[in-house]
Amino acid sequence: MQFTLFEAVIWSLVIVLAIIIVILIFYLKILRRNIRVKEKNNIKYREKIEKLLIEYIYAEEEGELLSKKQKAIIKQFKKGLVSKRKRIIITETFLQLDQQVAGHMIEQMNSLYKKIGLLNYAIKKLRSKQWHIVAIGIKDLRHFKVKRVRSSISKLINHHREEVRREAHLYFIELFGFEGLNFLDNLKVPLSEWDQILLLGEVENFEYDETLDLKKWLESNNDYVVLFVLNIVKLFNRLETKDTLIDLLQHKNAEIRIKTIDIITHFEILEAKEFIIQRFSEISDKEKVAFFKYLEKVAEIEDAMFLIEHVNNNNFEIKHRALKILKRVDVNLYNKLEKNSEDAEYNRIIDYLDVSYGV
Amino acid sequence: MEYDYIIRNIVLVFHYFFLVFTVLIVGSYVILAVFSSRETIEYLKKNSFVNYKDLLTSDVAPSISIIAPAYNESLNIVENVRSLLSTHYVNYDVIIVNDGSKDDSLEKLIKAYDLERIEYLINQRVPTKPLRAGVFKSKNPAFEKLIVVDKENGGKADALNCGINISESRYLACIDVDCLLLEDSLQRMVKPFLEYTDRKVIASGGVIRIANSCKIEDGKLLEVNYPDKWLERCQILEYLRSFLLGRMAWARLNGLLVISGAFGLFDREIAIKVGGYDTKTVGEDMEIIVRMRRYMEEEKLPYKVAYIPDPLCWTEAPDNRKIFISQRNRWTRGTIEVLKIHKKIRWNPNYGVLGMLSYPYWMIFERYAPIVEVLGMIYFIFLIIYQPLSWSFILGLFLLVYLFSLLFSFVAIFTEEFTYHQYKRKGIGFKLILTVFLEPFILHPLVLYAAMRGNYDYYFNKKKKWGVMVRKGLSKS
Amino acid sequence: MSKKKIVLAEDNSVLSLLLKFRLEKDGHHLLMAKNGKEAIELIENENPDLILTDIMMDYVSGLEVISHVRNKLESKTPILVFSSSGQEEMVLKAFNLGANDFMSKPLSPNELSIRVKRMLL
Repeated sequence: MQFTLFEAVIWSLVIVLAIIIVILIFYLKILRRNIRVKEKNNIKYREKIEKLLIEYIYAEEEGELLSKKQKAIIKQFKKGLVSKRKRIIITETFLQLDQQVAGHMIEQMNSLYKKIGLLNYAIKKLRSKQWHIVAIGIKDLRHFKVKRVRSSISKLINHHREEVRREAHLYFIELFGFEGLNFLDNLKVPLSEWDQILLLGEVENFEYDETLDLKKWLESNNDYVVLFVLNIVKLFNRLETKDTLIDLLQHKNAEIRIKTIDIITHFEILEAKEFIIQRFSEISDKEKVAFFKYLEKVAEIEDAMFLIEHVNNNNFEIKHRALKILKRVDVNLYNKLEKNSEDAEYNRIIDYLDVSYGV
Repeated sequence: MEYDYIIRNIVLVFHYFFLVFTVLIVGSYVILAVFSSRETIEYLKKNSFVNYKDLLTSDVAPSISIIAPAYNESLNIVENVRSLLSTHYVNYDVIIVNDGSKDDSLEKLIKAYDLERIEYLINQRVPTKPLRAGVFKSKNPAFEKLIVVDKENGGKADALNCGINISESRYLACIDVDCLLLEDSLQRMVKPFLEYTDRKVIASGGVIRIANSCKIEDGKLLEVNYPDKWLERCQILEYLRSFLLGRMAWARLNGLLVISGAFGLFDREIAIKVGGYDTKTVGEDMEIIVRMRRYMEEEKLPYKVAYIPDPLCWTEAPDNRKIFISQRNRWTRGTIEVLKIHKKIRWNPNYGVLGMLSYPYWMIFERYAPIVEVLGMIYFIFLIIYQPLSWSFILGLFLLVYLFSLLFSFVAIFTEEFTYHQYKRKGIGFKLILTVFLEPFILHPLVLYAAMRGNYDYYFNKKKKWGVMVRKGLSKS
Repeated sequence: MSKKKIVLAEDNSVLSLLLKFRLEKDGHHLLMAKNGKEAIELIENENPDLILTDIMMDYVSGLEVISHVRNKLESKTPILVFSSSGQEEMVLKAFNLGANDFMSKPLSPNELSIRVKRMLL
């Protein structure tokens, strides 16, 4: 075997790798030092900005429109804007305070935000080619309550990146309240659970508005809109949607049907009982379980026969709830039940019900 | 003459086999490094503007049960539970499964948390060993999230299954009780489950970081330190490589086969549908993921196994060789067992990435790599003895392999510096570099040895029990 | 009249600075804590006249601070908690543990100043 060519290749590779590694070692050293220095500087600059911001806010409280001191502070802020690193720190500091204080101060901060020119940077971000920059832009604009970019953001509600459209949806709800919900009319994309959690977090802050028509969204073609609005129905106790809710029990989407049963349970809508019992054999196990949770709240003695049919159900949860409810609504009938069966699960449930609830 | 010719050919076959294998390994590393850097950048972009706080106050945040099996953890159990109870999340409970401990764990818990025995109807959907003292809850409303179950000993998988039966939550966070979770762990881990609308996320895995020498007080991580022992240092480097490079890349390919048993989040319904953890293997954490994935593939349901690279879970790594070797020995046996149980999916196109990529990769580079490496060394020694090899060739080849391994360690360290930069102290950079250079001589031989022992034990020593890890306890390190 | 000592535990650095400025203008002496742990240390060492604390904080939550003051130190120092929206349950717990007053975020520093004056009477 002849190895000489092989050797040459190996040794040249070794040299190349060795050089790369030496470079990497030096680079690592420099990188680590830079990170340390940068972190230190960031902390210093952040402290400075925090102080300036607060001085500005209190300076205005004391007197006329723009004091000398305030003008000086604005100048200081503007100086920082040139550097991207400092811009980020300034924005972050503003945001940090934004949701924590109330009333006049917020307005002051928002106007300061415009005065120092940060607003322009945020609007510029909307035109970026990178999706995450666009998303950050919308986020800044919604936090600082900039209403005039409404039309450009309305084009983003069906954006292909969920992160971007999520910010756009939040923008509308946060700035325009119930009216902002109208973006749901044009929504063609899904709303993930994560989206819904964030949106509901904002919706919770709404003032109650009776005139809002939730019904049209409960009939939306977009199943995600239906799911989302069901949450709103529950949040604001919109009982007038009752008839629509009962229709939704037959929706083609199983998730919507289950969610509707949850809501009906929450409102204890009695009309749904007969409706579901009649089609009980056709519905899925998950719906059945949800329905029994509903029965736990609304069952009466006349439901005893229905319950008896299910005390031997194969599904543990249904069996358990059927027995438990039966015991509550008709204890005589419950006591007449065979207390010992071949089904070990059944025996355990009976044992549990008789021990923990007493006879 | 004839004889010499045959030997020569055999040598040549071996020669090309090892060459191809080496090229494959190096190539796969390069590819994984590329994928992982892409995934890391995407993850950082995605989460650069996320506000997790909304999840904390939401009524619609999904329920999560933390399930932590405990066996003879009396030393730290009270403190560990306290740390779990201080997680920042609304809708969760903590289920501690005392797996037939022979010490006073249960008594300590009862005393510290004011527990009382309650009647609890368990839906026995996964078979487990029976309860011993029963189910306990606290009388103090401050600890309302805590459930303690005392059962007969059945091993870790059995204890986890018991927790699965007790839980009524949508998601299960299965963890080692001695892990330290950062407060926002659940929020971050649950996010992928809620994000996707076009596929079901069945599990998400977290990074495991090494807590040795870190400053920990009252179950909180106060300061990240770099330990002094070389074994610990080397493991830190190894974990960085494996979690920041390897798993991140596999997450990109949706081909993750393992979620560390120390911290993972699962969809409870799917976990129950596949029958919970397998109590017969020592690789139960890997096995359940493979089984859940297999189930989704067979049902033709779109799914994903997600991965969160944030440093959320800190745990103590073995600090002496004996325990380290027994841990790796167990991992090796786990891998062999899991691959054997699921050999149906090997090179099976019906299982997509799982069958054609993940499984074969695991088989070739995790299962067989140590064996090939040892054979390679033997072959090399054989060559040195029987063939007049030049020393420059031997040295060159050795350096080449060595430098390549250094290169990947450096990639891992740079990833860490650019993303999480946990080892902030001045001077650690030098120690890290030193570790990169020494690790192939300190840790790698032990890993190889343990892997060979694992193979031996698997085939010839079937009765081998779990390696017992002696805990020092996080608070004392 | 000597200055009244107030411990302020709040992890949001800008907010805590804002409140500090406001309350110092009223003539109080402010002691700042970034988390519950620091708050407890300050309370033990300085024996303040009033405690202002956020509910959700790192290391030790506001609830634990209250519980520590009332149960461990057995002190009657008035406590005011800050809560965010959606933490109603926590506020109830805080009152059960012995908090005297609460304010929900977003805060108005002027309102806080008035309440602080009243609580220090």
